[in-house]
Amino acid sequence: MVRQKLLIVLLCIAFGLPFLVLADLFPFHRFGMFASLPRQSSSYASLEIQWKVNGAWKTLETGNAYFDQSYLPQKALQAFGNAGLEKSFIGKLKASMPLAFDSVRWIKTEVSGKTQIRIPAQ
Amino acid sequence: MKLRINPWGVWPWLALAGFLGFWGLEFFFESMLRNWSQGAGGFLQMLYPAFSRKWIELGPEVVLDLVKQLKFRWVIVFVFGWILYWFPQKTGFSTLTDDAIRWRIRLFLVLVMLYLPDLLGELSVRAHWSAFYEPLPLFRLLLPRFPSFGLIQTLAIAFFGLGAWLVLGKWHSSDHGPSVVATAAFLLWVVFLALFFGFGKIDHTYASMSMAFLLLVPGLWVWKYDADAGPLIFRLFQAGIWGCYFFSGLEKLLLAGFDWFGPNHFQTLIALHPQGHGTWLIAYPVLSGFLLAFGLAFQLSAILLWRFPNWAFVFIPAGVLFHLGTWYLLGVGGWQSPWIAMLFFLWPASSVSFRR
Repeated sequence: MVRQKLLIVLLCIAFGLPFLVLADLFPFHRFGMFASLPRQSSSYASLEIQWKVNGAWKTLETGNAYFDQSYLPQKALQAFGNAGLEKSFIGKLKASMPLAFDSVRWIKTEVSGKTQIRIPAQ
Repeated sequence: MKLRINPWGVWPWLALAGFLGFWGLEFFFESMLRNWSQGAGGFLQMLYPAFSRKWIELGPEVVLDLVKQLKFRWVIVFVFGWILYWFPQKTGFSTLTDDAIRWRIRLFLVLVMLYLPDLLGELSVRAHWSAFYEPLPLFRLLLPRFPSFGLIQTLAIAFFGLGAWLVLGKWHSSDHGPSVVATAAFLLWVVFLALFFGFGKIDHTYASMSMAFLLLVPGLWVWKYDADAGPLIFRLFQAGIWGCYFFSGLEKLLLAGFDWFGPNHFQTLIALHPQGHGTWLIAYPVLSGFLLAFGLAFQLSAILLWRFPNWAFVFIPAGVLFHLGTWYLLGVGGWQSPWIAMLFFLWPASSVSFRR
């Protein structure tokens, strides 16, 4: 009987704790997808990462929507303007890309127009 | 056998104590937050790392609103626990036979094994980008580096072996096997998810499946020693599914409130999800408001399943519509989403009837 009560307590903890601390506590999840009212004032409309191999620019495509549309653009934006992060980002790209490359650039498309940010690989 | 619990025992007192405690802390938290820029928020950041992110993303007023909510969140958790204790005492859990419960557990494991190749596909992409791996806090020691995909495949084969034992083997709840094997399988599942989440995002694709699994494993351990616990264990397994919807609805209610139905909300959601096909709906504000209200009502109604299992006859079709709708309008999920498959475990089979 006590064990059955403990199972109910576990259920409360599994859902209640992330709800109370407002964070995911893996393997417990905090739920509420789209719960916060989103803000439309995104600073950029899209961000495309390109890499230069043998003088030709190629769009970086991983074949995975999360990496292409969310993870890598966010990492690139975080890295921009911070020498240490830029170096780390380039290093990780080098470790992951199939070919050696000369440069990386990201093209940020904003409402006001396009901005190109270019970073040499060396 | 019914649980015998004093409904006026520890739960309401803990709720009251927590309410007063958080009410007292509110002033302390507020003063820390207002002095955030002077670095006074370190302690609060340790307790609530989410606050510092929201402070930057949404501004101080939003965070202060969240602080004021903490006392109510605490009470909600204890009211939830009180409901879970009180209603079964009045009604019993179900008359589902042990054999029927075992078959449902087997079916669940078949489903997990069917979805595992999808998860492995995601892990194979992540293995290629392993330089970017950032382990979750709990796994910084256990999995500091992303393992080779060969090792992941080996673990997956082990998972299939354990799953096959549970699905095909003849076992009884009092045996050692099911609890041990299910625990091992769950730990492997947690490892797969930890690797999946090690790239900056907690993905909720497998959330209802994971929460049900998480509650099933300790349930099997209890069932081993307590032969009467089967119906409770299955109801808690189901609660692992519907709880995801209920708490999701609660968050919407607490974070967005009435603004959830506001005329601009749907428009913003559509704009942020250009991969969906919901642009045409912006021209119909009443219909889009109705859809948002339907989504919230559907999620909050999940708790009715604890007392009225037959609510599933409404909840399951509504859930299927909800998931297909978010897929079509926002491009989130898909027809093959594990969320849709997990909904069917809520089905009140003819052998499930509450004792009156």
